[in-house]
Amino acid sequence: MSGNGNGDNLLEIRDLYVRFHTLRGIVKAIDGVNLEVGYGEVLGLVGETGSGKTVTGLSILRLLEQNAEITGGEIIFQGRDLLKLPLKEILKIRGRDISMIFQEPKAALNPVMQVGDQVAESFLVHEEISKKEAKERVLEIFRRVGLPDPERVYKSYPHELSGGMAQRVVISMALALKPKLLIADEPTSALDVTIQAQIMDLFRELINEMGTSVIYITHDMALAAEISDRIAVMYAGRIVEVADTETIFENPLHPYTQGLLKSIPKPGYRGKLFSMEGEIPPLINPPPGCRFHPRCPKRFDPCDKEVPKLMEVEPEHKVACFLFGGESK
Amino acid sequence: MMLEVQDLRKYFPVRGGVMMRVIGHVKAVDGVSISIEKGEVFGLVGESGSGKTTLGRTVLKLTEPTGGRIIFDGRDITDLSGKELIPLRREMQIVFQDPYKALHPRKRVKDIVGEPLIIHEGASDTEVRKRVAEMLKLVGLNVEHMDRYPHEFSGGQRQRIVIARALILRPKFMVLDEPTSALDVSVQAKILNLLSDLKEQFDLTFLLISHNLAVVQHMSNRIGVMYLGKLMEVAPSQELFEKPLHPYTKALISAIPIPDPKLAKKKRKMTLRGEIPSPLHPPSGCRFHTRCPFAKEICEREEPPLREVEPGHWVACHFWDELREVGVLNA
Repeated sequence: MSGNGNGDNLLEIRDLYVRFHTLRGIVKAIDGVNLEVGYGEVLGLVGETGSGKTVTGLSILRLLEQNAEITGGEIIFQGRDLLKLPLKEILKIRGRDISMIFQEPKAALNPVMQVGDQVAESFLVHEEISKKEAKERVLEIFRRVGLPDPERVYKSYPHELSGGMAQRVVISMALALKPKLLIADEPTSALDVTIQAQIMDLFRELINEMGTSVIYITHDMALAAEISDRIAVMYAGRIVEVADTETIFENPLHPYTQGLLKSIPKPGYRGKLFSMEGEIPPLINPPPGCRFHPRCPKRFDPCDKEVPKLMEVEPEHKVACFLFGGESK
Repeated sequence: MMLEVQDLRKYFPVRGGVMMRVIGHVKAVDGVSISIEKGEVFGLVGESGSGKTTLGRTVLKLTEPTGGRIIFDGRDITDLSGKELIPLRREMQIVFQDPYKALHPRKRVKDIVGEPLIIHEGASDTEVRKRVAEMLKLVGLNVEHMDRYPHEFSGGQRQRIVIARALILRPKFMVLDEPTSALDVSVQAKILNLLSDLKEQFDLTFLLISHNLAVVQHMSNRIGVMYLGKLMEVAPSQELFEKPLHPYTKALISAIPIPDPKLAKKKRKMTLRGEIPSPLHPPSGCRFHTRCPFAKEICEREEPPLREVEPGHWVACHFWDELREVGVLNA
């Protein structure tokens, strides 16, 4: 079930490096990321601003901006390296095998096209069916995602829909072809909490029903806890810890994961919040060695010189930290 | 009492048609009464369209109320206007959500933070530098930051600059409108700690507005829950979380993801159906009835008043008592 790197994974990211060329210099956004997603697994990819969680997601579908450069690594999906495939092949994979949902549902929709036709397009592009059949299938999936009055929604334009409804349309589009992998990037961050709760419920149902693997990208540890089987914590372009969800919360090992969890306000506690020293470093000139070391309360000799490797310290629990005997890269 | 708001209303006209005539009103705040004691943190929660931000702006007289009264520190400030408001601005300040928009990009930190001193006190440059330097230290920045521009700072540091500016005239009362919503969790923790420290140090009173219940719960003594321009429930912070009496409050609480997988599994969920109605056409009767799982016929017809049902615990629901009896709102 869970990813363990021995070949029975749906997706394996191996030693990925991504940099961005900007006017201010080269941003080392992803610096040696290794990640596996198992069949039917929901992997939460958690991190703060600049951690590289979104860039990781975009790399998989080769959706990075022009100024981005993948300088190393492999992304193996069902035996093929996505980074080596010609764009023509990637286009076939997008939407059919792997699809992606973003934070702003309306930005993902064409503003001058009826939303129903937009969803129907996924069927028409990837399958040989008539327009009429495509419409039937869209209406069916609209009903399934809980859109009221599917016929009316079909003919609506994006601006006529609320944020929650637009996200349901986008979810329909993403899941229309029953992809094997869904990359969901903060899909509920722009929504009100009660609507977020509805969308999360829907998500859980659909994922269970379809057996789709999911990479759920979020800055919110609590949200990740509610949906993920496993959680990978990113910091400044690297993965610092990976384990199943309960372990991450009950026995976090990396000082960053520990600090992050302690910073969240919790019901019933009104004292001082734990606050980590310093701020998230700029990735143009990241700290040497472990990128977290300037903020780490437990830093010691090797931390500012060598990069700790992500190592399995307990079964299915990986940490990149010298405190746990991590080797350097 | 620091602030007393009585039956406050703020309606925004909606124009339409060829002549752009007024065709209706958005009743953003529709009859809200709250009182905030000196030294208290009063939290206001609600979703889009609840009117929480409008309420915050109206009590500061940044926008004219349509009706009701605002009593600030014993004075009725409802009808003050123009120059009469200037002395008041020293005493009440606001911190907005987005520290990226709140700071003039071409002004140095010294000028941003020191500007109120020049406007209100005609302070000299030496005086401004001295007091800005003190203030920067208090909010956790360095004196050397004085001559830099906003873009040189991170989000958290910018919010510190905003707070320094708001505090430089030593106000008594501050409205904090989503002060940490644009920040990462680790940065949020620092800003919340800073605000708590400053509150103690300067004897401040806060009206904290946020959609984030965890943040409001952490900071506030009492919490008010708003929905479509009205207060649904007001109670001491802990009591609101442990014994909510309004179904909407319960739904809000159960919608917050819990950062603990074991507790999350045990949590009793109450997911609301439907969308938040448009504030332009709020539902009749109880505004929450269209989404309330317990709504009965009376809810559609009659608006329940906000009543004090236990000392300090106010609720606007026809069936609060029955719901409590059955225990459907329990955690």
